[in-house]
Amino acid sequence: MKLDRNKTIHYDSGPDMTPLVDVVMVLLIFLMMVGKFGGADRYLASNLPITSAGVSNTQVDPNLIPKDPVTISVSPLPPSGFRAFVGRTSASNDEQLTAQLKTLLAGLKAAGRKPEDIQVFIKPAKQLRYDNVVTVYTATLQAGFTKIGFQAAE
Amino acid sequence: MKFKRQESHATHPNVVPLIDVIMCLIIFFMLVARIGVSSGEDASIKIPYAALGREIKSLDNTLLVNVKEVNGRAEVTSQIDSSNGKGRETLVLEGGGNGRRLVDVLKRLRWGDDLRAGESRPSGRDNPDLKLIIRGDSDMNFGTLQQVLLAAAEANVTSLNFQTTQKAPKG
Repeated sequence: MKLDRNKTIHYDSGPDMTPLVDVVMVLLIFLMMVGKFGGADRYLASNLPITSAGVSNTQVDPNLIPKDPVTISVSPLPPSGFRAFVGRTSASNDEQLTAQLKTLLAGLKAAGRKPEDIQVFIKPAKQLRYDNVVTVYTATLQAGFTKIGFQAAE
Repeated sequence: MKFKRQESHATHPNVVPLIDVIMCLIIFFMLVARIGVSSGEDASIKIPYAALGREIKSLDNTLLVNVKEVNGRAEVTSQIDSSNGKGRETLVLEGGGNGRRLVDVLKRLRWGDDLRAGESRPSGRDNPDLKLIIRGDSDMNFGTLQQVLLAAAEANVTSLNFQTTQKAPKG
């Protein structure tokens, strides 16, 4: 009698965890498969849509167009590169362009202009690849300019 | 006999630490994973790499447009009414075609139902904080993007956000 009672107590001690673990594992796998992970998306922000130069059918609010902008003209360089022209200098990669823009910004600062008031226009050619547009944009941000917009290609 | 019974007790694995760990994992995934959040992104678009860029905390009051080139022609898609569960809709650019025009969609969101500044009726409320998210394909030309930018300019949408990735391209 005594032995039997001991045996029963040993087997039933604690609740049965198996169904709980089953359900929890299913939940875990579901969440891992359905969820979207990875860092949050990043965005390059601009507060000026585009300024038209000879583009018809589009009325741009004249208040949006600032004074004395810096214009970066960008043309494609086959097969998938670009060449950016700022003033009299030109660059064909982002490091060169950032360096040139930094020099330009230093000059403008010396002339008494604040970086946050200087509007930069990127004027890409129509055939320029979009990833190059983004590269030029990033290089301009890296140089310290903050207001960046686009100018339409003719 | 007595020894054997004790052995059977020892074969029970202790599942309590396992459950602790799994519960922690579940709670972590529930908090981190974005489930069922969709703003109509086209997963086939290869977005460009940019080392810089900022996060947008709230996706309220935003319109995401997918821009890519199909056979050399611009294709703009967007999920305009996420509330009614409709999928992505193809929008028409300046060139013409059937369907809603991107400019009209943007104007409606920007100016309200009356499509102009000021509030002639309550549903015509202006929305100056409208954000446009452009999810552009790396391989398209600027000429394609320009049409979207011109539409934004025409509708007076002044907050443009170009979606980028921080994953560096291979090679």
